[in-house]
Amino acid sequence: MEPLTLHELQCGYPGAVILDGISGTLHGGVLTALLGANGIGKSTLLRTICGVQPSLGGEVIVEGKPLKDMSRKELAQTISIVNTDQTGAGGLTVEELVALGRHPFTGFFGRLSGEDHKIVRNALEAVGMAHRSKDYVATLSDGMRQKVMIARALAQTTPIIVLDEPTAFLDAASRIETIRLLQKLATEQGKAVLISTHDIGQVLPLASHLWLLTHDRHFITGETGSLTSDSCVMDSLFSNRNVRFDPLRQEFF
Amino acid sequence: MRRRLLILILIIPILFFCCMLWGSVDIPAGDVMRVLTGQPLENHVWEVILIESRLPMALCAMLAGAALSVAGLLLQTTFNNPLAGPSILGISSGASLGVAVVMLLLGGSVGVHGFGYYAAVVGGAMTGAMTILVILLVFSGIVRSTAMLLIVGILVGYLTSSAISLLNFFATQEGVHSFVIWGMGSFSGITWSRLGVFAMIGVSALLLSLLLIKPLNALLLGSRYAESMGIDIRRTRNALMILSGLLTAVTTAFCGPIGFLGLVVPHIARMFMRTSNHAVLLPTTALTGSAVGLLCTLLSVLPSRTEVIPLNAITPVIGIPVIIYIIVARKRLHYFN
Repeated sequence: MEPLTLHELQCGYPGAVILDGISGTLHGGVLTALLGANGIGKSTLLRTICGVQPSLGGEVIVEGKPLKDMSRKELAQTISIVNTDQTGAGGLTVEELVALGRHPFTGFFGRLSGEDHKIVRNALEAVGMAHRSKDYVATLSDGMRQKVMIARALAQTTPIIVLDEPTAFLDAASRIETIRLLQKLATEQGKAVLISTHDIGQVLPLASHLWLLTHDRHFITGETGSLTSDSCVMDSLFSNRNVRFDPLRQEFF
Repeated sequence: MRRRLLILILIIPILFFCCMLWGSVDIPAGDVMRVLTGQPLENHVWEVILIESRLPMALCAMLAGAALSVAGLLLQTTFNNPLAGPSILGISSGASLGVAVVMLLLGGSVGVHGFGYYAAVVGGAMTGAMTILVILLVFSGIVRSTAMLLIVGILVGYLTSSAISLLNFFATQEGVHSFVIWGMGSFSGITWSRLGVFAMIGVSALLLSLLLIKPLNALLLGSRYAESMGIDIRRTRNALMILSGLLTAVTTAFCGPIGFLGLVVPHIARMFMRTSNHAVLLPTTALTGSAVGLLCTLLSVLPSRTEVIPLNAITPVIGIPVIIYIIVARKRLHYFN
Protein backbone atom coordinates (compact mmCIF):
# COMPACT_ATOMS: atom_id res chain seq x y z
CA MET A 1 0.00 0.00 0.00
CA GLU A 2 1.28 3.46 -0.86
CA PRO A 3 1.84 5.69 2.17
CA LEU A 4 -0.01 8.61 0.65
CA THR A 5 -2.13 9.27 -2.43
CA LEU A 6 -3.92 12.42 -3.55
CA HIS A 7 -7.13 12.24 -5.58
CA GLU A 8 -8.27 15.37 -7.40
CA LEU A 9 -7.32 17.40 -4.34
CA GLN A 10 -8.48 21.00 -4.12
CA CYS A 11 -6.62 23.21 -1.66
CA GLY A 12 -6.90 26.78 -0.49
CA TYR A 13 -9.31 28.73 1.63
CA PRO A 14 -13.10 28.84 1.33
CA GLY A 15 -13.78 31.17 -1.57
CA ALA A 16 -10.16 31.16 -2.73
CA VAL A 17 -9.08 27.94 -4.42
CA ILE A 18 -5.30 27.96 -4.77
CA LEU A 19 -4.68 24.50 -6.20
CA ASP A 20 -7.11 22.25 -8.03
CA GLY A 21 -7.06 18.75 -9.49
CA ILE A 22 -3.96 17.61 -7.60
CA SER A 23 -3.45 13.86 -8.02
CA GLY A 24 -0.31 11.96 -7.17
CA THR A 25 1.35 9.32 -5.04
CA LEU A 26 4.03 9.55 -2.40
CA HIS A 27 6.29 6.49 -2.34
CA GLY A 28 7.89 4.88 0.68
CA GLY A 29 11.65 4.46 0.98
CA VAL A 30 12.49 7.40 -1.24
CA LEU A 31 13.00 11.14 -1.00
CA THR A 32 10.41 13.12 -2.98
CA ALA A 33 11.02 16.80 -3.64
CA LEU A 34 8.20 19.32 -4.07
CA LEU A 35 9.44 22.14 -6.31
CA GLY A 36 7.76 25.34 -7.38
CA ALA A 37 8.01 29.12 -7.37
CA ASN A 38 7.36 31.19 -4.25
CA GLY A 39 3.70 31.79 -3.51
CA ILE A 40 2.52 29.08 -5.89
CA GLY A 41 0.95 27.05 -3.10
CA LYS A 42 3.62 24.59 -1.94
CA SER A 43 3.01 25.28 1.72
CA THR A 44 -0.75 25.20 1.23
CA LEU A 45 -0.46 21.79 -0.40
CA LEU A 46 1.76 20.50 2.41
CA ARG A 47 -0.57 21.86 5.08
CA THR A 48 -3.51 20.16 3.38
CA ILE A 49 -1.63 16.87 3.20
CA CYS A 50 -0.79 17.10 6.89
CA GLY A 51 -4.42 17.72 7.78
CA VAL A 52 -3.69 21.14 9.29
CA GLN A 53 -5.79 22.86 6.66
CA PRO A 54 -9.01 21.17 5.49
CA SER A 55 -9.14 20.31 1.80
CA LEU A 56 -11.78 22.03 -0.30
CA GLY A 57 -12.41 18.97 -2.44
CA GLY A 58 -10.97 15.64 -3.46
CA GLU A 59 -9.25 13.31 -1.07
CA VAL A 60 -6.00 12.61 0.71
CA ILE A 61 -5.60 8.88 1.35
CA VAL A 62 -3.08 8.01 4.05
CA GLU A 63 -2.15 4.32 4.18
CA GLY A 64 -5.45 3.39 2.60
CA LYS A 65 -7.54 5.56 4.89
CA PRO A 66 -9.09 8.95 4.06
CA LEU A 67 -7.28 11.70 5.96
CA LYS A 68 -10.51 13.31 7.09
CA ASP A 69 -11.58 10.12 8.88
CA MET A 70 -8.40 10.00 10.94
CA SER A 71 -8.30 11.13 14.54
CA ARG A 72 -5.81 13.73 15.66
CA LYS A 73 -3.76 11.05 17.38
CA GLU A 74 -3.83 8.64 14.44
CA LEU A 75 -2.68 11.45 12.17
CA ALA A 76 0.15 12.35 14.55
CA GLN A 77 1.23 8.70 14.48
CA THR A 78 1.29 8.70 10.66
CA ILE A 79 2.67 12.07 9.52
CA SER A 80 5.37 14.10 11.24
CA ILE A 81 6.51 17.53 10.10
CA VAL A 82 9.59 19.72 10.06
CA ASN A 83 9.41 23.40 9.12
CA THR A 84 11.26 26.61 9.85
CA ASP A 85 8.96 27.93 12.56
CA GLN A 86 10.72 29.79 15.35
CA THR A 87 10.69 27.65 18.44
CA GLY A 88 11.08 28.61 22.07
CA ALA A 89 12.77 25.34 22.91
CA GLY A 90 16.27 26.71 23.63
CA GLY A 91 15.91 25.82 27.30
CA LEU A 92 15.25 22.15 26.59
CA THR A 93 18.04 19.66 26.19
CA VAL A 94 18.44 18.03 22.79
CA GLU A 95 17.14 14.81 24.29
CA GLU A 96 14.06 16.48 25.79
CA LEU A 97 13.25 18.12 22.48
CA VAL A 98 13.51 14.87 20.53
CA ALA A 99 11.43 13.12 23.19
CA LEU A 100 8.57 15.52 22.38
CA GLY A 101 8.20 13.42 19.24
CA ARG A 102 6.91 10.59 21.43
CA HIS A 103 3.85 12.69 22.39
CA PRO A 104 1.31 10.78 20.27
CA PHE A 105 2.36 7.57 22.02
CA THR A 106 2.79 8.62 25.65
CA GLY A 107 0.10 8.97 28.28
CA PHE A 108 -1.54 11.98 29.84
CA PHE A 109 1.60 13.28 31.55
CA GLY A 110 3.98 12.36 28.72
CA ARG A 111 6.08 9.97 30.84
CA LEU A 112 8.56 8.04 28.67
CA SER A 113 8.91 4.27 28.83
CA GLY A 114 12.20 2.41 28.33
CA GLU A 115 11.11 1.75 24.76
CA ASP A 116 10.49 5.48 24.21
CA HIS A 117 13.98 6.30 25.49
CA LYS A 118 15.44 3.77 23.08
CA ILE A 119 13.56 5.29 20.14
CA VAL A 120 14.77 8.78 21.12
CA ARG A 121 18.37 7.53 21.34
CA ASN A 122 18.13 5.78 17.98
CA ALA A 123 16.67 8.91 16.37
CA LEU A 124 19.54 11.00 17.70
CA GLU A 125 22.06 8.48 16.45
CA ALA A 126 20.41 8.40 13.02
CA VAL A 127 20.96 12.14 12.57
CA GLY A 128 24.42 12.04 14.16
CA MET A 129 23.52 14.18 17.16
CA ALA A 130 23.73 11.59 19.95
CA HIS A 131 26.90 13.21 21.32
CA ARG A 132 25.00 16.43 22.03
CA SER A 133 21.96 14.83 23.67
CA LYS A 134 22.53 16.48 27.09
CA ASP A 135 23.27 19.93 25.66
CA TYR A 136 20.76 22.76 25.53
CA VAL A 137 19.11 23.28 22.16
CA ALA A 138 20.16 26.95 22.35
CA THR A 139 23.83 25.96 22.14
CA LEU A 140 23.37 24.34 18.70
CA SER A 141 24.03 25.90 15.31
CA ASP A 142 21.10 26.32 12.92
CA GLY A 143 22.10 23.25 10.93
CA MET A 144 22.39 21.13 14.07
CA ARG A 145 19.07 22.44 15.32
CA GLN A 146 17.39 21.37 12.11
CA LYS A 147 18.97 17.92 12.46
CA VAL A 148 17.51 17.69 15.95
CA MET A 149 14.09 18.69 14.60
CA ILE A 150 14.46 15.88 12.06
CA ALA A 151 15.37 13.50 14.89
CA ARG A 152 12.21 14.64 16.66
CA ALA A 153 10.21 13.71 13.56
CA LEU A 154 11.99 10.32 13.48
CA ALA A 155 11.12 9.75 17.14
CA GLN A 156 7.49 10.23 16.17
CA THR A 157 8.02 6.93 14.22
CA THR A 158 5.67 7.96 11.42
CA PRO A 159 5.81 6.30 8.01
CA ILE A 160 5.58 9.76 6.41
CA ILE A 161 7.72 12.83 7.13
CA VAL A 162 6.77 16.13 5.49
CA LEU A 163 9.34 18.95 5.51
CA ASP A 164 8.40 22.49 4.48
CA GLU A 165 11.57 24.25 3.28
CA PRO A 166 13.68 22.78 6.09
CA THR A 167 16.87 24.19 4.58
CA ALA A 168 15.65 27.77 4.18
CA PHE A 169 17.83 29.42 6.83
CA LEU A 170 20.86 27.14 6.59
CA ASP A 171 24.30 27.76 5.11
CA ALA A 172 25.34 25.90 1.97
CA ALA A 173 27.12 23.05 3.76
CA SER A 174 24.24 22.45 6.16
CA ARG A 175 21.75 22.49 3.27
CA ILE A 176 23.58 19.75 1.43
CA GLU A 177 24.10 17.76 4.63
CA THR A 178 20.43 18.02 5.60
CA ILE A 179 19.14 16.88 2.22
CA ARG A 180 21.68 14.03 2.16
CA LEU A 181 20.55 13.00 5.64
CA LEU A 182 16.90 12.97 4.54
CA GLN A 183 17.71 10.80 1.53
CA LYS A 184 19.64 8.39 3.73
CA LEU A 185 16.82 8.18 6.28
CA ALA A 186 14.23 7.54 3.56
CA THR A 187 16.21 4.63 2.10
CA GLU A 188 17.47 3.14 5.36
CA GLN A 189 14.25 3.43 7.36
CA GLY A 190 11.83 2.95 4.46
CA LYS A 191 10.06 6.24 5.18
CA ALA A 192 8.18 8.34 2.66
CA VAL A 193 9.96 11.70 2.88
CA LEU A 194 8.45 14.72 1.15
CA ILE A 195 10.49 17.92 1.14
CA SER A 196 9.64 21.28 -0.34
CA THR A 197 12.74 23.31 -1.18
CA HIS A 198 14.31 25.94 -3.38
CA ASP A 199 17.67 24.16 -3.36
CA ILE A 200 16.98 22.52 -6.71
CA GLY A 201 20.60 21.85 -7.57
CA GLN A 202 21.15 20.01 -4.28
CA VAL A 203 17.93 18.06 -4.23
CA LEU A 204 17.82 16.71 -7.82
CA PRO A 205 20.64 14.17 -7.44
CA LEU A 206 19.18 12.87 -4.15
CA ALA A 207 15.41 12.89 -4.69
CA SER A 208 14.28 9.93 -6.75
CA HIS A 209 10.83 11.43 -7.33
CA LEU A 210 9.62 14.95 -8.01
CA TRP A 211 6.37 16.78 -7.40
CA LEU A 212 6.32 19.89 -9.55
CA LEU A 213 3.94 22.81 -9.13
CA THR A 214 4.29 24.75 -12.39
CA HIS A 215 3.93 28.50 -12.66
CA ASP A 216 0.40 28.06 -14.09
CA ARG A 217 -0.47 25.79 -11.14
CA HIS A 218 -0.34 22.44 -12.88
CA PHE A 219 0.82 19.49 -10.84
CA ILE A 220 3.31 17.10 -12.44
CA THR A 221 4.76 14.06 -10.69
CA GLY A 222 7.22 11.42 -11.77
CA GLU A 223 10.67 9.98 -11.41
CA THR A 224 13.40 12.58 -11.31
CA GLY A 225 15.32 11.04 -14.25
CA SER A 226 12.43 11.17 -16.68
CA LEU A 227 11.21 14.62 -15.62
CA THR A 228 14.59 16.31 -15.78
CA SER A 229 15.55 14.86 -19.15
CA ASP A 230 12.86 17.06 -20.66
CA SER A 231 13.79 20.69 -20.15
CA CYS A 232 10.24 21.81 -21.11
CA VAL A 233 8.80 20.25 -17.97
CA MET A 234 11.36 21.85 -15.69
CA ASP A 235 11.09 25.19 -17.51
CA SER A 236 7.37 25.27 -16.70
CA LEU A 237 8.24 25.69 -13.00
CA PHE A 238 9.03 29.36 -13.40
CA SER A 239 7.32 31.95 -15.55
CA ASN A 240 10.62 33.76 -16.10
CA ARG A 241 11.70 32.93 -19.66
CA ASN A 242 15.26 34.04 -19.02
CA VAL A 243 15.80 31.21 -16.53
CA ARG A 244 15.99 27.82 -18.21
CA PHE A 245 16.80 24.29 -17.15
CA ASP A 246 19.89 22.58 -18.51
CA PRO A 247 19.25 18.79 -18.62
CA LEU A 248 22.98 18.09 -18.92
CA ARG A 249 24.07 20.05 -15.88
CA GLN A 250 20.80 19.24 -14.10
CA GLU A 251 20.55 22.83 -13.03
CA PHE A 252 18.76 26.08 -13.79
CA PHE A 253 20.90 28.81 -15.27
CA MET B 1 18.72 20.10 39.66
CA ARG B 2 17.80 18.20 42.86
CA ARG B 3 19.95 20.51 44.96
CA ARG B 4 18.42 23.61 43.43
CA LEU B 5 14.94 22.28 44.13
CA LEU B 6 15.95 21.56 47.73
CA ILE B 7 17.23 25.13 48.19
CA LEU B 8 13.93 26.45 46.88
CA ILE B 9 11.92 24.21 49.21
CA LEU B 10 14.04 25.26 52.20
CA ILE B 11 13.76 29.00 51.47
CA ILE B 12 9.98 28.99 51.79
CA PRO B 13 9.71 27.90 55.46
CA ILE B 14 12.45 30.37 56.39
CA LEU B 15 10.68 33.28 54.71
CA PHE B 16 7.41 32.07 56.15
CA PHE B 17 8.81 32.11 59.65
CA CYS B 18 10.25 35.60 59.11
CA CYS B 19 6.83 36.81 57.97
CA MET B 20 5.34 35.44 61.17
CA LEU B 21 8.11 36.96 63.27
CA TRP B 22 8.32 40.50 61.95
CA GLY B 23 5.60 43.09 62.24
CA SER B 24 4.38 46.08 64.19
CA VAL B 25 4.40 44.09 67.42
CA ASP B 26 7.53 42.30 68.62
CA ILE B 27 6.80 38.69 69.40
CA PRO B 28 9.63 36.36 70.50
CA ALA B 29 10.60 33.64 68.04
CA GLY B 30 9.88 30.96 70.63
CA ASP B 31 6.28 32.08 70.95
CA VAL B 32 5.87 32.21 67.16
CA MET B 33 7.16 28.65 67.02
CA ARG B 34 4.74 27.62 69.75
CA VAL B 35 1.76 29.04 67.87
CA LEU B 36 2.91 27.44 64.61
CA THR B 37 3.08 24.05 66.30
CA GLY B 38 -0.41 24.52 67.69
CA GLN B 39 0.37 25.27 71.36
CA PRO B 40 -1.50 28.01 73.24
CA LEU B 41 0.27 31.23 74.27
CA GLU B 42 0.00 33.00 77.61
CA ASN B 43 -0.15 36.36 75.88
CA HIS B 44 -3.54 36.24 74.26
CA VAL B 45 -2.99 39.38 72.16
CA TRP B 46 0.10 37.88 70.53
CA GLU B 47 -1.82 34.72 69.79
CA VAL B 48 -4.57 36.70 68.09
CA ILE B 49 -2.06 38.74 66.07
CA LEU B 50 -0.27 35.62 64.93
CA ILE B 51 -3.31 33.50 64.14
CA GLU B 52 -5.74 36.10 62.89
CA SER B 53 -3.37 38.43 61.07
CA ARG B 54 0.13 37.19 60.28
CA LEU B 55 -0.67 33.56 59.50
CA PRO B 56 -3.44 34.25 56.96
CA MET B 57 -1.32 37.05 55.48
CA ALA B 58 1.65 34.72 54.95
CA LEU B 59 -0.54 31.98 53.48
CA CYS B 60 -2.27 34.51 51.24
CA ALA B 61 1.11 35.80 50.05
CA MET B 62 2.23 32.28 49.18
CA LEU B 63 -0.95 31.48 47.31
CA ALA B 64 -1.12 34.81 45.48
CA GLY B 65 2.55 34.58 44.50
CA ALA B 66 2.12 31.06 43.17
CA ALA B 67 -1.13 31.88 41.36
CA LEU B 68 0.17 34.98 39.59
CA SER B 69 3.46 33.30 38.68
CA VAL B 70 1.83 30.22 37.21
CA ALA B 71 -0.62 32.47 35.33
CA GLY B 72 2.39 34.32 33.91
CA LEU B 73 4.11 31.10 32.88
CA LEU B 74 0.97 29.80 31.15
CA LEU B 75 0.62 33.10 29.29
CA GLN B 76 4.29 33.18 28.26
CA THR B 77 4.03 29.72 26.74
CA THR B 78 0.59 30.31 25.20
CA PHE B 79 1.65 33.51 23.47
CA ASN B 80 5.19 32.24 22.89
CA ASN B 81 6.36 35.50 24.37
CA PRO B 82 8.82 35.86 27.24
CA LEU B 83 7.46 39.27 28.18
CA ALA B 84 3.85 38.15 28.55
CA GLY B 85 2.30 38.32 31.98
CA PRO B 86 -1.05 39.01 33.60
CA SER B 87 -0.34 42.67 34.31
CA ILE B 88 1.44 43.61 31.08
CA LEU B 89 -1.20 41.98 28.88
CA GLY B 90 -3.90 43.99 30.64
CA ILE B 91 -5.54 40.97 32.23
CA SER B 92 -5.05 42.35 35.73
CA SER B 93 -6.55 45.66 34.58
CA GLY B 94 -9.50 43.78 33.16
CA ALA B 95 -9.96 42.08 36.50
CA SER B 96 -9.61 45.49 38.20
CA LEU B 97 -12.32 46.93 36.00
CA GLY B 98 -14.59 44.06 36.97
CA VAL B 99 -13.85 44.69 40.62
CA ALA B 100 -14.36 48.44 40.14
CA VAL B 101 -17.79 47.85 38.67
CA VAL B 102 -18.74 45.75 41.68
CA MET B 103 -17.10 47.98 44.32
CA LEU B 104 -17.99 51.37 42.91
CA LEU B 105 -21.36 50.78 41.31
CA LEU B 106 -22.85 47.96 43.33
CA GLY B 107 -20.82 48.56 46.50
CA GLY B 108 -23.75 50.00 48.37
CA SER B 109 -26.33 47.50 47.26
CA VAL B 110 -24.66 44.14 47.93
CA GLY B 111 -23.97 44.22 51.69
CA VAL B 112 -20.31 45.16 51.96
CA HIS B 113 -18.82 42.34 53.98
CA GLY B 114 -20.98 39.34 53.32
CA PHE B 115 -20.11 36.30 51.28
CA GLY B 116 -22.29 37.58 48.42
CA TYR B 117 -20.15 40.68 48.13
CA TYR B 118 -16.96 38.68 47.74
CA ALA B 119 -18.60 36.31 45.32
CA ALA B 120 -19.59 39.37 43.30
CA VAL B 121 -16.05 40.79 43.47
CA VAL B 122 -14.55 37.48 42.32
CA GLY B 123 -17.18 37.17 39.61
CA GLY B 124 -16.50 40.71 38.45
CA ALA B 125 -12.75 40.12 38.35
CA MET B 126 -13.25 36.87 36.46
CA THR B 127 -15.54 38.49 33.89
CA GLY B 128 -13.10 41.36 33.37
CA ALA B 129 -10.06 39.09 33.06
CA MET B 130 -11.75 36.70 30.65
CA THR B 131 -13.01 39.57 28.48
CA ILE B 132 -9.46 40.86 28.07
CA LEU B 133 -8.20 37.32 27.36
CA VAL B 134 -10.78 36.83 24.62
CA ILE B 135 -9.80 40.18 23.08
CA LEU B 136 -6.12 39.17 23.20
CA LEU B 137 -6.90 35.78 21.70
CA VAL B 138 -8.74 37.39 18.79
CA PHE B 139 -5.87 39.81 18.23
CA SER B 140 -3.25 37.06 18.48
CA GLY B 141 -4.98 35.47 15.49
CA ILE B 142 -4.75 38.73 13.51
CA VAL B 143 -1.42 40.23 14.62
CA ARG B 144 1.24 37.56 14.42
CA SER B 145 3.96 39.75 15.90
CA THR B 146 4.22 39.10 19.61
CA ALA B 147 5.59 42.58 20.28
CA MET B 148 2.48 44.07 18.68
CA LEU B 149 0.31 41.82 20.80
CA LEU B 150 2.00 43.16 23.94
CA ILE B 151 1.24 46.68 22.74
CA VAL B 152 -2.41 45.71 22.21
CA GLY B 153 -2.40 44.40 25.79
CA ILE B 154 -0.92 47.62 27.12
CA LEU B 155 -3.44 49.71 25.15
CA VAL B 156 -6.33 47.61 26.45
CA GLY B 157 -4.89 48.21 29.92
CA TYR B 158 -5.08 51.98 29.37
CA LEU B 159 -8.63 51.64 28.15
CA THR B 160 -9.70 49.83 31.29
CA SER B 161 -7.88 52.44 33.39
CA SER B 162 -9.88 55.18 31.74
CA ALA B 163 -13.08 53.25 32.35
CA ILE B 164 -12.06 52.85 36.00
CA SER B 165 -11.40 56.62 36.24
CA LEU B 166 -14.88 57.26 34.94
CA LEU B 167 -16.37 54.85 37.45
CA ASN B 168 -14.39 56.56 40.22
CA PHE B 169 -15.72 59.92 39.09
CA PHE B 170 -19.30 58.80 39.54
CA ALA B 171 -18.81 56.69 42.66
CA THR B 172 -19.38 57.58 46.29
CA GLN B 173 -16.51 58.74 48.43
CA GLU B 174 -16.41 55.57 50.54
CA GLY B 175 -16.47 53.45 47.40
CA VAL B 176 -13.54 55.34 45.93
CA HIS B 177 -11.62 55.09 49.20
CA SER B 178 -11.99 51.34 49.50
CA PHE B 179 -11.20 50.90 45.81
CA VAL B 180 -8.02 52.98 46.06
CA ILE B 181 -6.86 50.99 49.09
CA TRP B 182 -7.61 47.74 47.28
CA GLY B 183 -5.80 49.03 44.19
CA MET B 184 -2.53 49.45 46.06
CA GLY B 185 -2.34 45.71 46.48
CA SER B 186 -2.03 43.98 49.81
CA PHE B 187 -1.84 40.54 51.30
CA SER B 188 -2.73 41.85 54.73
CA GLY B 189 -6.41 42.53 54.18
CA ILE B 190 -7.21 38.85 54.12
CA THR B 191 -9.31 37.08 56.73
CA TRP B 192 -9.63 33.34 57.27
CA SER B 193 -13.03 33.14 55.60
CA ARG B 194 -11.83 35.03 52.50
CA LEU B 195 -8.65 32.99 52.44
CA GLY B 196 -10.83 29.87 52.36
CA VAL B 197 -12.57 31.01 49.19
CA PHE B 198 -9.29 32.21 47.68
CA ALA B 199 -7.58 28.90 48.47
CA MET B 200 -10.43 26.80 47.15
CA ILE B 201 -10.37 28.47 43.73
CA GLY B 202 -6.63 29.19 43.61
CA VAL B 203 -5.39 25.75 44.65
CA SER B 204 -7.75 23.92 42.30
CA ALA B 205 -6.65 26.11 39.37
CA LEU B 206 -3.00 25.45 40.27
CA LEU B 207 -3.61 21.70 40.40
CA LEU B 208 -5.50 21.79 37.11
CA SER B 209 -2.57 23.58 35.46
CA LEU B 210 -0.42 20.54 36.28
CA LEU B 211 -2.61 18.55 33.89
CA LEU B 212 -1.42 20.76 31.03
CA ILE B 213 2.31 20.02 31.34
CA LYS B 214 2.44 17.79 28.26
CA PRO B 215 0.70 20.19 25.83
CA LEU B 216 2.65 23.12 27.33
CA ASN B 217 5.92 21.43 26.42
CA ALA B 218 4.65 20.73 22.91
CA LEU B 219 3.67 24.40 22.58
CA LEU B 220 7.32 25.40 23.11
CA LEU B 221 7.81 24.36 19.49
CA GLY B 222 4.97 26.61 18.34
CA SER B 223 1.39 25.75 17.52
CA ARG B 224 2.07 24.04 14.18
CA TYR B 225 4.53 21.55 15.60
CA ALA B 226 2.30 20.99 18.62
CA GLU B 227 -0.64 20.26 16.35
CA SER B 228 1.42 17.80 14.29
CA MET B 229 2.18 15.90 17.50
CA GLY B 230 -1.51 15.37 18.16
CA ILE B 231 -2.23 18.32 20.47
CA ASP B 232 -5.69 19.87 20.12
CA ILE B 233 -4.54 23.48 19.85
CA ARG B 234 -7.87 25.18 20.25
CA ARG B 235 -8.86 23.18 23.32
CA THR B 236 -5.42 23.53 24.90
CA ARG B 237 -5.34 27.27 24.29
CA ASN B 238 -8.81 27.72 25.75
CA ALA B 239 -7.88 25.69 28.82
CA LEU B 240 -4.68 27.72 29.28
CA MET B 241 -6.58 30.99 28.88
CA ILE B 242 -9.30 30.02 31.34
CA LEU B 243 -6.79 28.84 33.93
CA SER B 244 -4.52 31.87 33.68
CA GLY B 245 -7.59 34.13 33.71
CA LEU B 246 -8.96 32.37 36.78
CA LEU B 247 -5.65 32.53 38.65
CA THR B 248 -5.22 36.23 37.86
CA ALA B 249 -8.83 37.10 38.58
CA VAL B 250 -9.09 35.38 41.95
CA THR B 251 -5.77 36.86 43.13
CA THR B 252 -6.73 40.31 41.92
CA ALA B 253 -10.11 40.09 43.62
CA PHE B 254 -8.58 39.32 47.03
CA CYS B 255 -5.22 41.12 46.94
CA GLY B 256 -5.65 43.89 44.41
CA PRO B 257 -3.96 44.24 41.03
CA ILE B 258 -0.38 43.14 41.72
CA GLY B 259 2.10 44.01 39.01
CA PHE B 260 5.25 42.25 37.78
CA LEU B 261 5.16 39.04 39.83
CA GLY B 262 3.49 37.06 37.06
CA LEU B 263 5.93 38.30 34.45
CA VAL B 264 9.11 38.01 36.45
CA VAL B 265 8.81 34.87 38.56
CA PRO B 266 8.71 32.38 35.64
CA HIS B 267 12.02 33.86 34.48
CA ILE B 268 13.56 33.58 37.93
CA ALA B 269 12.41 29.94 38.00
CA ARG B 270 13.82 29.27 34.51
CA MET B 271 17.15 30.85 35.36
CA PHE B 272 17.34 29.07 38.70
CA MET B 273 16.31 25.63 37.46
CA ARG B 274 17.97 26.09 34.04
CA THR B 275 15.19 24.51 32.03
CA SER B 276 12.06 25.31 30.04
CA ASN B 277 10.65 21.83 30.58
CA HIS B 278 7.27 22.48 32.19
CA ALA B 279 7.40 19.22 34.14
CA VAL B 280 10.06 20.95 36.27
CA LEU B 281 9.29 24.57 35.50
CA LEU B 282 5.58 24.65 36.39
CA PRO B 283 5.94 23.32 39.97
CA THR B 284 9.09 25.35 40.60
CA THR B 285 7.44 28.50 39.26
CA ALA B 286 4.66 27.98 41.80
CA LEU B 287 7.22 27.49 44.58
CA THR B 288 9.32 30.48 43.49
CA GLY B 289 6.12 32.53 43.32
CA SER B 290 5.31 31.57 46.91
CA ALA B 291 8.81 32.54 48.01
CA VAL B 292 8.67 35.88 46.21
CA GLY B 293 5.19 36.50 47.63
CA LEU B 294 6.56 35.99 51.13
CA LEU B 295 9.57 38.17 50.37
CA CYS B 296 7.28 40.99 49.20
CA THR B 297 5.25 40.68 52.40
CA LEU B 298 8.40 40.85 54.44
CA LEU B 299 9.55 43.97 52.59
CA SER B 300 6.15 45.56 53.07
CA VAL B 301 6.26 45.22 56.87
CA LEU B 302 9.99 45.68 57.52
CA PRO B 303 10.69 49.41 57.01
CA SER B 304 7.87 50.82 59.12
CA ARG B 305 6.75 49.69 62.54
CA THR B 306 3.22 50.90 62.13
CA GLU B 307 2.19 50.94 58.48
CA VAL B 308 2.22 48.26 55.80
CA ILE B 309 3.72 49.51 52.53
CA PRO B 310 1.48 48.86 49.48
CA LEU B 311 2.62 45.81 47.51
CA ASN B 312 2.58 47.72 44.26
CA ALA B 313 5.32 49.93 45.65
CA ILE B 314 7.51 46.85 46.15
CA THR B 315 6.88 44.50 43.22
CA PRO B 316 8.29 46.90 40.58
CA VAL B 317 11.47 47.30 42.64
CA ILE B 318 11.95 43.52 42.54
CA GLY B 319 10.53 43.04 39.06
CA ILE B 320 11.98 45.74 36.87
CA PRO B 321 15.69 44.93 37.47
CA VAL B 322 14.95 41.31 36.54
CA ILE B 323 13.13 42.33 33.35
CA ILE B 324 15.94 44.67 32.34
CA TYR B 325 18.47 41.91 33.01
CA ILE B 326 16.42 39.55 30.84
CA ILE B 327 16.29 42.04 27.98
CA VAL B 328 20.01 42.87 28.20
CA ALA B 329 21.17 39.27 28.63
CA ARG B 330 18.73 37.95 26.04
CA LYS B 331 21.48 36.40 23.94
CA ARG B 332 23.07 34.65 26.87
CA LEU B 333 19.88 33.23 28.35
CA HIS B 334 19.56 29.86 26.68
CA TYR B 335 15.84 29.49 27.00
CA PHE B 336 15.06 32.30 24.58
CA ASN B 337 15.89 30.68 21.28
